[in-house]
Amino acid sequence: MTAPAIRKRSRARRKRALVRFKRPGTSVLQQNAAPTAPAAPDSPWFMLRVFAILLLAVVVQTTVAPFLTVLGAKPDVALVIVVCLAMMRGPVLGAIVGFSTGLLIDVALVQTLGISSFLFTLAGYFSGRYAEGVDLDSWFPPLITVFISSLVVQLLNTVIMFLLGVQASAGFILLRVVLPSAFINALLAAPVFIVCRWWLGGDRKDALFTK
Amino acid sequence: MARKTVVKRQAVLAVLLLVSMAMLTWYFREPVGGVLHSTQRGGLRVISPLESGVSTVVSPFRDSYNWVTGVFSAQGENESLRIEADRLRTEVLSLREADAENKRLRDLLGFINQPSFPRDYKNVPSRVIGRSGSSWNATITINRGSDSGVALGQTVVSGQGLVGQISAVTTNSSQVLLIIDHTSHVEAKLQNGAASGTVVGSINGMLEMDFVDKDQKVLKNDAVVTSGTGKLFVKGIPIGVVDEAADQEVEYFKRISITPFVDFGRLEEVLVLIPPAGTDEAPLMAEGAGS
Repeated sequence: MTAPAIRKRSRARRKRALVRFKRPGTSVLQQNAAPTAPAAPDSPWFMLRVFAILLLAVVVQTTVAPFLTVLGAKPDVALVIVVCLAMMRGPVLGAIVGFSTGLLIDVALVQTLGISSFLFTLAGYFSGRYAEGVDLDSWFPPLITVFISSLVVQLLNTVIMFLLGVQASAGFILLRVVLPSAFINALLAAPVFIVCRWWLGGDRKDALFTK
Repeated sequence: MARKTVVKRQAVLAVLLLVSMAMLTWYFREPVGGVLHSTQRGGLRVISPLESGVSTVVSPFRDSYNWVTGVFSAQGENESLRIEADRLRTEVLSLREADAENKRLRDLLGFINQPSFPRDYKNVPSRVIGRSGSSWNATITINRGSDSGVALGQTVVSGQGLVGQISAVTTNSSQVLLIIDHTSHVEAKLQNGAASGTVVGSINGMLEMDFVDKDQKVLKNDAVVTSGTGKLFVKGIPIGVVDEAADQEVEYFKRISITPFVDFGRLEEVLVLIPPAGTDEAPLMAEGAGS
């Protein structure tokens, strides 16, 4: 084969590889999904992966998150992970993951058992329900779902705290805890979503009770 | 979607929510030694080594972050610190004189054998391995537990002053309720003896001294120390300085804002004060800690 023919052939090969990589019509999130080696939804291996990410969420929440403060508010990494998993795997797994994560958080922070598991169960279930009707290839649904979930969870938590007798200014809680926390969580939504998607091998909403 | 599927989903949600509510109610009703509290301590015992490992791994990054933020704040603080240094230099000279005078007076009064600081207490140096990830609680987790002699209610200090009190213990780690937590109450007094009251924390991380008699004269920068009343905390440990004393007519008592000596955001090492065997142990403020 002549030299120009070889060059022409290798150019064509490079072009085909680039087209495969870009996958026209797909978003950045989808390109990063890397749906390699998908695990069966209900397999022990899959559940082990879910458990590992939950444990990591709790440890990160107690060791790293307290230092990433914005206007005094801390990010709720565990909640972001619960919402992302729920969006990828549906409401039932979302609720179960939310319950488990909340329980681990309550244990790790020596808080009243049940508060976080209650709130995270709700967040997981309704995030999963919302995600059934949206296109997860865009960056917007994870961001807005995490933002709204954070707002609702923080507001419900505020109500519970007030019922338990905590005294604080409502304005302070709203401006220095609820809103900054929701914003910083929303900023974390896209990277956490990409990492979770990669770790669990892509979306599969047919895991539990969705048909 | 099939109706059966919808019902199954809602059943799962309802069960999980009911279990959460049941745990919440049970946790509140049972004593500290109850089943749920014990299970929680068992879980913490498993998680704390993980926290300790991750804390060690991320500490260089955390130190870098603190260094960068410290440089920015240091520029602003430089001028005020220079003025403060001049003032402190003068104060050190007068304190040395006062110290010498104090020693003479203590000898005279026979107080030399009754030091305010409990010298017979054992100090257990501990490393901070975790912090409360919630905006509602101000707690830290340290890497010492009952194996090192740590027990509920013991006082925790740093080089700057009072940090808090042990609120939960496992064999290899403990949780410290910081004095800035909204559930914390510390019996305190001004170092000059002018007033006494209760130092309480708040959600916004500020300290206030409440229940101070309105007739008492309180000046800015007066030092506040633990009074030791009620034996909740060891007596005479520095807490902070008076920032502002509000005198509102509608209130029965004076409320004093306090700037703590301890920088709670940068705590790395603390000391747990363990009383000598046979000492009347401090009562547990940790009964409802974290609740």
